[in-house]
Order: sequence, then structure tokens, then C-alpha cells
Amino acid sequence: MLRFVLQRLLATIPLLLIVSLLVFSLVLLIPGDPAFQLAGEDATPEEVEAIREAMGLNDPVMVRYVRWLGGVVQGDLGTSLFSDQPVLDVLLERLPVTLSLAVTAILISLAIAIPAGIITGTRPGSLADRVVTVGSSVGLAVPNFWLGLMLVLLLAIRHAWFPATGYVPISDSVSGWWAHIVLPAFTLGLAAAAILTRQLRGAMVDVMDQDYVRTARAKGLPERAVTVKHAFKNAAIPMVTILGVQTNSLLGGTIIVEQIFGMPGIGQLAVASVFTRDLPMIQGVVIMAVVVAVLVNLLVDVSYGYFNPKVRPK
Amino acid sequence: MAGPLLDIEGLNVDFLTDQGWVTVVRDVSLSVAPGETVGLVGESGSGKTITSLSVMRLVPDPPGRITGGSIRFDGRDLLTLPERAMRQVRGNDIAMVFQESMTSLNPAFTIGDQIAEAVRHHLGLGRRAAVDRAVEVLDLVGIPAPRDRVDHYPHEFSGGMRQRAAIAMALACEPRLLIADEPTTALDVTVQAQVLELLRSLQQRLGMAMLFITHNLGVVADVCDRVSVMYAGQVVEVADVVDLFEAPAHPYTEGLLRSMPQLGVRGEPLATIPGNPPLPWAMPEGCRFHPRCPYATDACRSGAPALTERGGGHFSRCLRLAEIELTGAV
Repeated sequence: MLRFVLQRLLATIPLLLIVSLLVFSLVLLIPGDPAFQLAGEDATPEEVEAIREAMGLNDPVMVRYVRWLGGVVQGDLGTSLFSDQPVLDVLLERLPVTLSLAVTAILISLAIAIPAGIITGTRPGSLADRVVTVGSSVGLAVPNFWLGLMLVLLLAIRHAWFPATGYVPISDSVSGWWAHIVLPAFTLGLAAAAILTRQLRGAMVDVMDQDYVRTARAKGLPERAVTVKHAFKNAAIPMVTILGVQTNSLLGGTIIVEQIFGMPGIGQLAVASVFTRDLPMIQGVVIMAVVVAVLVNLLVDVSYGYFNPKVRPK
Repeated sequence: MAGPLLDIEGLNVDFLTDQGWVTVVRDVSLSVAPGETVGLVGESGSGKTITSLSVMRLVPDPPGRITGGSIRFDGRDLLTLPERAMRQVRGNDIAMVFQESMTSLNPAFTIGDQIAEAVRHHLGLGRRAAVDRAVEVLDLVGIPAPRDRVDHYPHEFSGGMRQRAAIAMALACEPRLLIADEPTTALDVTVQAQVLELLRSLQQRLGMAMLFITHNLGVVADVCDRVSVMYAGQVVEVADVVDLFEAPAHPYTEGLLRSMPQLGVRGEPLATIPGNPPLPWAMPEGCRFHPRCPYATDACRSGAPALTERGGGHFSRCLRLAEIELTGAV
């Protein structure tokens, strides 16, 4: 298993190299000159030129790329153009916010999708099935910025059951963290819950017709063991694939949700950095996003082995 | 003998199809004595699998529904048992082996896990004892190195080994009746012979009764004591296996025997029964076999024959039973 993980990690190196090239070319593609920005509006061309020279912006592209990449692999993502803090420090400070938001959102979506998918998948055409199908269509159709705002209006402002904005680290207060995380996580996870429910329902309908489900019944197992143990483990295989894809798009969703709920996470940082043209920070955010996506895919691949022994590495 | 272990009386099973409700198993009666092996023979669609699934109360519902009759096992009517009590019967008193060992084992769990599960559920054994039992039954069905093989997944077994494992799973709780639904059909011929031999020897060693479902009369001759022949949802002949082969009492059985390939007969095309079995929603009037029967008369087209005894426990559903002379295989 360890070997499998290492192999997979090695296989991502070419991918990361390509991504690093793309990230680096952001600097070249984005209009505007960071040297101008840094020098300020009143700077003379000589001052701008001096800054450009100091930043190494006059060197050939390849030289700049290699120099930048050398720093990146050593954990040096550069310095924020505005706060002068190292990019990596800022990212690591904000990462827990986004991670706890994303992980909670995934857990909420699974907590909805697994029971809903099993119940509807074992009783296709029932009332519960129709209610859930309509519900998941709504869940898919509702944009998360609208849902977030409505939840804030209703549950935070009108009823004051939850704080409207902000974030408390879990290390400071678990209840405070939960109160702050539950609305944004629900907002973020609802669409994923809808998609996962549909996926699981379809897979369950299919699996319940399989011969091994009949065998499990012929053994005299209670229906619950037949569906939750025998059928679910097989039906979970396609769901895990979708979960990986959903996790990545959900990380994208944190950009909007963190804005709405005023959470100091990576998403908010990304938006702020784009507005201030803080290129090293934008690069750092993108690299971090790619690394997280690669890790999520790896996790998905590893969990395949659990659900489907046929793909388990020998 | 204290009466049959399994006694099916007048079983009717309906299915909801595009054509509405149709009766796919009509008035089927069948009995299996303790320790006896009864063959249930018929073409695909004759209702033999549905009959066997009815015994386990595993007919898919919807679309299927048992609409009449009784299935007594050891004196208790299984059709009126509460679901909870029925689950105690399944896998414990009556176990089943299915045709497709490829798909009837769960690919996501080890063989040992799947055997141990039934043992833990019915016999209340602990995890370790259940695995030991799994190893024991894998050994019993002739799987080499069973201690290692319990941890393997179905896809790591060959077809024949998988069917042996499925048999082991069925035997784990020492059922009194084993229903084998075409257990050798999906296997290649040499493996078929091995699995048949295994079933026969296990049946004798463990003294269990067996209901053996097949479309292959050669297999019937190998393992069965008595045979019920099904055609178009009805039992058309019941006989001792020797009787059936020597002196069939139904034209359909005669046709089946004739279409068996025989050693030593060369150069002649195999005999066939002309036509196709009727569709469940378009059953012919009168005798259901008459459109394909070489002996059919006008009486057969209008009057539905009852299952009548010819003597010596040999039953046939044929109006012309007394008039026609049928040839056997021996």
C-alpha cells in the first residue's frame, strides 16, 4: 500500500511541473507591471527600472522560472508584494480555515447523501424516493451564494441562532468553531450532497439487482445487513469517484462562501490578492490548490482499494 | 419415513409484466424426503427457478407474487411464517447454491468473510470461531490451502473454485435441505463433473436433502433419486429417476430424452422438439404442450389434463397417458 502511494506521488511530479509552468506564466500573462505597482504612481522611470532590476524581472524567462521553481520546492513561495510577509506563512495561517470548512462541508454532504441514497436506492418509485429526487434537484439548482445569504438572513440575522460571519479556530473553542462553521459548510456542501445522493441512488438501484444481493438474502441476513453491508460497499465505488470531483469543485466554492461568511480562509485571500495584483500570493494560492487537488485524488485512489479489492495493488 | 421434509402443494406464482399479471408457476406440487435428491428439470422459463426461489421466499416482489399454495418445511408452512422467522430458515435450514458463481459472490468481501457471516448470524459463533468454521467447510469442499484461501477475494478464485466456495458457504450452517439452481451450468465440462461429484458425496456424507434444478438430463441421471419435469409453469411428470429414463410417461419428457446426445450414436443429427415453449401470457388452451406434441389430438386442444398417477409413484400430466407408447433412453 505504501509503495502504491509513493508510486502515485512520483507520478504526480510531471503534472506538478506542468502546473508550475502555468502558474509561473501567470506573471507574464497578467496585464500590468508589478514594478510599476510597487514603485507607486509618482515614481520616475529610473526608479521603476531599478525595482525591476532588483526583482530580477529583466532576466530571461527561463532563468526566472528556474529561480522561482528552485525557491518553490524549498518552500519559498516568495513574499507578498503588499504585506511583505512570506507567502507560505500567510497560506499556512489561512489553510486551517478553508480545510475545516471544506472537510465539514464534505462530511455534511456525506451525512445527507449516504442515508438518502440508500433509502431511495432500495425503494425506487416510493414516496421517499420522489421527495428526495425533488429535493436533490432543488439542492442542485440553488446557487450557493444565494443559499448562503438566505441562511444568514434567516438563521443569523432574524433568529440569531448562529453568528452571521467570522471564524473561531477549533483549538480556541469547539462550540464556537461549530457555530461559525455549520452555516457556511452546509451552504458549500448542499450541491455536493445532491449530486452524491443521485449517484448513490442510481448505483444502489443497480446493485440491489445483483446476484450477490440475492445470495446475501439467501443466507438469511437481515435486510439492513444486505443493504448497508453488501450492497452499499459495492455502490460506494462510483460515489467515491464523484466525491473526488466534488471535493475539488467544492474547494473552488470556498472562494464565494468565505466571502459571504467573512471567513479568513484561502478563498478570501485569493480574492483579495487578485484585487491587489499580489502575484506571488496568487501563485501560492494556485499551487496550494493544485497540491490539495492532487492529494484528494490520491485519497480517492487509495480508498478505491478499500471498496473494490480488484484494484488493490498486489 | 416421517413424511417429506419439503412439501410444496399447489404453488402459484404471478408476475406483473407488460401484458398484465401472468401466472408463471401454476399449481406446482413437489416433495423432497429427508436425505433425498430430487431433480427439477425444464427449459429456461419453465418456472423451475421461480419455484425454488419461492421455497426461500426470495421471489423478487415486485414484480413477482406468490398467490396460492403452501410450502411446508418440516411441517411448518413457510409462506405464512413472519419474515423474521423466515430469515432463521434461510441459510440455516435451507441453503441455496446459484448458477453464476461469478456474480453470486460479493466481489467486495473475502470468501472467508462471506462464509463466516452466515455462521455468525445463525450459529452465534464469535469472529474467530466463525473463520475456523469457514476454513473447515472450504476444506470440506476440496479447496487446497483453505487457511490461506479464506482471506482471498472471489476474483482471485477460478470458476470451479468459486462454485466450490459458494457450496461451502451454503453448507456452513449444515442445512437440512440444499437447493442447487443449475450449479454446474456455468462451468466447463471437466469442472462440472468434479462439482457434481462433490455435491453427491457431500449429500451422502452430511445426509442432507437436495433439490437439484437443471435443464440437463444427464446431470439428473448422475445425482437424482426422483425427478419432477416442468413445462410452461407446470409439473408435467414426476418419477423415480430410473423409471423416468426407462419409461417416460409424458411426450415432453420423451422429447427431452431424445434430444440428449448419446455416445455411440454417430452421424445422425440430434432430435429436437419442434417449436418453442409458450410465452406466459399466451398459454395454449387445453394441454400446454399440445402445439409441440407429436401425439396431440383434438381432446388435447380443449381439455387441460391433471397430474395423474400411472402407478408406483409415477405421475404424468397427459390425457393420452393410457393410449400412447413412449420410448425411454435406456
